[in-house]
Amino acid sequence: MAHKQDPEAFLPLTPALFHVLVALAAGDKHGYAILRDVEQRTEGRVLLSTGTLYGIIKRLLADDLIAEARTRPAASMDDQRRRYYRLTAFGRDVALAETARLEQASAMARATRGLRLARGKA
Amino acid sequence: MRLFRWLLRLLPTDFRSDFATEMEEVFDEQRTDARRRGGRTALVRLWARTLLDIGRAVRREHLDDLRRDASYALRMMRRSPGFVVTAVLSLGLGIGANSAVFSLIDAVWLRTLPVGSPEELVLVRRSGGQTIKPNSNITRPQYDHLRDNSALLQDICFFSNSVPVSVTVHGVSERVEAQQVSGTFFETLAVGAWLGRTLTRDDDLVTGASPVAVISEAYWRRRFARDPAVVGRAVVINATTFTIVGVMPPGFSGVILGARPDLFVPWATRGAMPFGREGNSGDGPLPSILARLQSGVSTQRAAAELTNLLQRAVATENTSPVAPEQRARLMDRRVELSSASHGITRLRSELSTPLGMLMAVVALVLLVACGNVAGLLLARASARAPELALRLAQGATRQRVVRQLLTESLFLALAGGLFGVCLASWSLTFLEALTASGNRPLQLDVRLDAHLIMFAGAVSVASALLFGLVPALQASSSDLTALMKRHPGRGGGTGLLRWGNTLVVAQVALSMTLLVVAGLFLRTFQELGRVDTGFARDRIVLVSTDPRLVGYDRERIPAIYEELLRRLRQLPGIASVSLGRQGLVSGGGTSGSVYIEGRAPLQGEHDLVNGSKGLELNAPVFSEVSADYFKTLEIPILRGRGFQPTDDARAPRVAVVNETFARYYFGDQNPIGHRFGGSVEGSNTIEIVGVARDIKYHSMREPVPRAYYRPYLQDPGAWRETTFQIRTAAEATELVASVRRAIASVDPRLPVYNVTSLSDQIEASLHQEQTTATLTSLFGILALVLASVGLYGLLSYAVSQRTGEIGVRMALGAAAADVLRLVIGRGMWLVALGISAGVLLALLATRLLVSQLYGVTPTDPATFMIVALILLSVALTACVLPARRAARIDPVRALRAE
Repeated sequence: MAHKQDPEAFLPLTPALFHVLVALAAGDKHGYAILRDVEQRTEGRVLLSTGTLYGIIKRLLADDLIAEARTRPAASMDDQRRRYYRLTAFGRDVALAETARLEQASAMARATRGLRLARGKA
Repeated sequence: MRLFRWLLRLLPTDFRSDFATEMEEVFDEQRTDARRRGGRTALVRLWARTLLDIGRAVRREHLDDLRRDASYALRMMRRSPGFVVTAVLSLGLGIGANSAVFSLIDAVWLRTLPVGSPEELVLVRRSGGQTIKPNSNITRPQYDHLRDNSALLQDICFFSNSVPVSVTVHGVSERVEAQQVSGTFFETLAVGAWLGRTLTRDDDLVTGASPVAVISEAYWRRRFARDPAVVGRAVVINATTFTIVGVMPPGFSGVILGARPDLFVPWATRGAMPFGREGNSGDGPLPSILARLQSGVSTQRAAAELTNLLQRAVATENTSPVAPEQRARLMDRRVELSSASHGITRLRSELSTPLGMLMAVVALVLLVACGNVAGLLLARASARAPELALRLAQGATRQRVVRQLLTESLFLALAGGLFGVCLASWSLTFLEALTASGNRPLQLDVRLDAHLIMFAGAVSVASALLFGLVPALQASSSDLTALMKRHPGRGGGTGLLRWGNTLVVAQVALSMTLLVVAGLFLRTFQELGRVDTGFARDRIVLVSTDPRLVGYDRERIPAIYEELLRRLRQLPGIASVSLGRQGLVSGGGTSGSVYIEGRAPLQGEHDLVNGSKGLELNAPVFSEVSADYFKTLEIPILRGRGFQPTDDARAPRVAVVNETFARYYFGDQNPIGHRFGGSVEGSNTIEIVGVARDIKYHSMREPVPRAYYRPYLQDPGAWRETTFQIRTAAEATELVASVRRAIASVDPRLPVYNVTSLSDQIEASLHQEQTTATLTSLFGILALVLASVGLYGLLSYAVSQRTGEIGVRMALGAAAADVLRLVIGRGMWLVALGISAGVLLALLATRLLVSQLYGVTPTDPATFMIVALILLSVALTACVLPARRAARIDPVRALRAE
């Protein structure tokens, strides 16, 4: 297990793992909500299935990047089978470190002749 | 949803217990969503994605668990190197011994021939007509008919057994093994040459002019130093010049297991090779026939087709009128096919008992080794109680902890297995030499191959379960509080101790069994060594030669033997020289039916019977000898006379019989003057002139057979090779060189082989007994050492557990002697129990060895007593060290610790 004080030790993150962290950065969520959030945020390009999602959750829990949330919504909005997860401070640091890494990589690519994107293109 | 739940069951237990409920809920939501958004198509897509995803998750999670268990196990092992080294050494010795013995089993039973599609090969034989020689019971014309008309055979060939020939290279003659094969032999086996070419059908047509030969890779290496120019080279085989046309690939040694022919020559050249034993006259049955079936054809179907063809061939052969019952008998013969994929041999039935026994012995050694490691693990389980309790308290399931502990056991076993394979491969050369020596050498190809690695792996895994399961269950079963409370030096661990006691008792019992078996084999070997052979065995050198191999015909043989005897007698330091063909416990011998003049044969007198080496003729053995034979070997003539130089081809035919022969045929009568022969009509041809004392013939173990001797000058044509017995005035091993020179001075082409002393030949005849005794003793001692280490470990652990109790006893006035008595008494009590169980176990085991023993009963009290004493004394040593440590315990410190 990597040292907790060093977010860099976790980099690079897999895209799926990064998207789960990003989804939880917006607030506590249960499994299905994470799944839907990732799907919408990526416009359907990243579709997580249950096996992959909970494999990631298991690893994030073990590495203290996420934790189980103590608060639950009202019973009418809830399902007893659910568990809610929140991003830990350390998890946030790791997500930020990965974001910086990706930005650095894309800035470097933009600065490279032949990879410059045409003006007006997304 | 039921299917989804079932899929989740494939995930590891821990993962399931953490997330299964949530996963079900998420999948529920996904299904509802899919139905709402895309109906059936979206649902099918979701299922497909989920199935793939769960499959990947199952693999990933199990691997992840395994990785974590493995790294944890390695960390634990790094922390206790002493324990790891002891366990790996114990297991390595056990697994190594098993792997080494398995390599022999692999070579004899499991390995297929190194040829193309060996499963298609069958040995072809016609039923009926048992014989001692390898014999297909099919004649050449019948073989030709089968070859030309069968639709179910791809190919068919025939070949002889390996036979000795004399090969002269660079003017030096040596005796090597050759096999005569039909031109289709290599084609049938689908094996090509390494260099040059193999023999082909065309070579069957060459009868006299420029014959060719193919040599084995081993012979090429040994004799020609891997010279590629060997192809095309001329060598003289039995006085005929052959051209070497090819070298076979490494590892190929024909199809007869246990034989390694150096040369393969075409059957058509057999005129140049007077191989008396092979029955290779043109009309007789062919020795061995091998066929390759068309792929997919069953042996039953092929046998039915060949039987039809054979009966047709027999019908056309016998056009002359024969009695109806004789015709019916001829037509009743069937073709039998047996698989030849693993080579053909009589070895398998011969070796099944000794190898089975050896495998049982090493399996017991492995059990003792496993007991040892289990004992070590139990002791460690107690020391690790707090750590395991913590893991259970943190929510790890018992199954998870057991799996973790078993992973550690598996690592130990695999390390032991690796060490065992290294030991086994190191011992293979020794095993190969062991099987290739003695008077019936076997050329077995024992090597480290995939079979051996797989076996060692399987044994390692089985061992891990065997020694790891009980300690793992024990360690994870106790309730948490007990585990948390328990730590070294604080008592407790009684469950573990109970298991430890059981293990020690079992180890002692198994060691006792092994040592008793070893003891009985040692006694057998000693008894056989003490057997009175009936002839003098000291200061006698044996030398064999065979003039027929270099072209001598039967008319010239007596003269050359006389000349050889004369030259050998002239050597300095020679007391007496004789020649005689066989016997003297060389493992070989010739027997022939005997008809006594005026006496009807008894029932079954000339039948084939199952002897120690397969089928044997129930008839006397005989040997052609020179006049000085009885004098050289100091065999007393009890009645009548021995032979004289005047008993030659012109004199009346005479024989000297042994006591057993005289008793069997004449009872109390005097046999001198009686006559016998090899047939009813010729029963008056040979006169008995003397009775010699019984001597051991084939082997030390077998009872003395009926035997008779003939003067070799009266029957020179019947044999190929002879052995000279040279009695020296003093110990003279340096005599061998002058004997070789004397023989070469008569004819330098004469091959000289089997040069040995008579005492060495007798020793060689006991090779198997010596090997068995050595190996079982070795394994017995190994088991004893392992059991002692186990006992020492257990008592040390028990003392460490009872430090407090011993401290209290000493504080209350117990003397050091009392403590010594307490600990040693406990250890010896376990040993006594083990010995009692061992006696019972050994009594059961030794009942199976009756046929292997000689001069000692399977319940020999002396052996049992000696073994028990050895065990007790070794066990006592193992008990003393922990007992002395216990006696030195400082009661004050022990009580303070409490």
